[in-house]
Amino acid sequence: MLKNLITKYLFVLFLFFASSGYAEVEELAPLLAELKLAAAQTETLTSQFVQEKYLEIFSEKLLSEGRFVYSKPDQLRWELLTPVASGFVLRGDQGKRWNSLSQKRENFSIKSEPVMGMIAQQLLAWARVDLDWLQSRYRMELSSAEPVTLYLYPLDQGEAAFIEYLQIQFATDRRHVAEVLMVEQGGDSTLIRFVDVEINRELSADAFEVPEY
Amino acid sequence: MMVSQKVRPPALQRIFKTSTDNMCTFTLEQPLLLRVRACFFVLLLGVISCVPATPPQQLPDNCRADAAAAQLLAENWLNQPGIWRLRQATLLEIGRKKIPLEGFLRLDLTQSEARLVAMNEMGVVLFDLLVTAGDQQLKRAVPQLQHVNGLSVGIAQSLRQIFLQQQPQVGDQLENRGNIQRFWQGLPGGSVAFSYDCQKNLRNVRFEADGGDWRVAYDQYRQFGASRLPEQIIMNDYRHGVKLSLWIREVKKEL
Repeated sequence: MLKNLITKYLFVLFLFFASSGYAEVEELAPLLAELKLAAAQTETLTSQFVQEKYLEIFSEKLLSEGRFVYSKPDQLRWELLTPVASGFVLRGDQGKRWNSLSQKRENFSIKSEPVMGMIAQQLLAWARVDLDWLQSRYRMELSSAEPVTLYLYPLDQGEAAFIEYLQIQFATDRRHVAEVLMVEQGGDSTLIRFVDVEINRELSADAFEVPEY
Repeated sequence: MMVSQKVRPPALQRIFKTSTDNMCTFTLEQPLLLRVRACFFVLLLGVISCVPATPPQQLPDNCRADAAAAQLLAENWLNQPGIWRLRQATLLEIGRKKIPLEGFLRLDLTQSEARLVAMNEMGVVLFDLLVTAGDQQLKRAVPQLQHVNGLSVGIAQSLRQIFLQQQPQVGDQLENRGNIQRFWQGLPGGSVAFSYDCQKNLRNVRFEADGGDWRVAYDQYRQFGASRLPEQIIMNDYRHGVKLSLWIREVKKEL
């Protein structure tokens, strides 16, 4: 009797989760298609950003600010303005980075430096809403449809040992990413909020130049 | 120029040497490791074994340094009990290589312990280290740094030199030299000197004895609450060819 009850209960639970998962996939697919379509119209993107690093052990939030520039198909500028001026520009798989503390500029290649490659790929993926790349790296869950918010769980074990999940929130017009939250195993997190976003603005000639020291 | 060939590999250099053992695995901090590997080879070849140059300190010279020993020691923030939260930018130099890092330090001067979380510019935590006067504990580190021998020891040593070095006592020898006052303690093989400017700020610690050959300069003092803290600190380890510069960007005192 009890066994039967448990079996029925489990079966109902299975049906519930299976159907909700199916509904989620059903809901996610057209949304992703819509996001891809909107992103395809983006030639350039500029924005300021605020980076909030939360350190669990100190219950401390560290703020940094900077600016971000993207030009189709693969040019990036990621520049921290405070507290320490630093950043990098990327064209294809070649980049240059700088740091005001070391007063140095260095060339790098994303092939020879996997970290820069990973960061650059993430930034490119967010800028051009490269859902194919994101889906190849993460299991996606829809958290909310208004605004569109996705949970991304790393598929790579090495990455999963470090990152618990990413939460990506799109702007209300769904044309660009508005926030990225990276939650690390252990409770630390980094929230990047993109503000004053401009799409398809003409870029200045020095948009991808590095500062002189 | 300081030639370090006769010296046993120091902790910081051991960090860089051992980090080369883990280069084949995927790493979140590969650039850092590549850079430190490059540093190690440069050091190994003996091409560059001198500490990067440090400009001379600018000390105020419009007053005489003649404070009482007790007053000097009481006004030194490192002698005052309390817990500080310091956000800092760091530049580590080994030979000609420069490695910028960001750090957050919880400095408990009551318990004589420091906890440092070091991050890269994207906010990725590289390591989290707890340092006490006589020990250190690596709380966590990115996978590729977890097995790096000497990581904890080398960084802990620098933190002790800068923040936890035992300060002079009232009874120690105090010399007045114009705009500088200097506490002096004899040690096996040498001495340690603590120099104060005429505004009663600790400006440098010079350690030259069997235990090491290093100097810490404290500059750009600013008032934070009831205490004055330096916003720039430079540590030169002459024996090991390492220079560590800290710029304190944010200061909070825990209540």
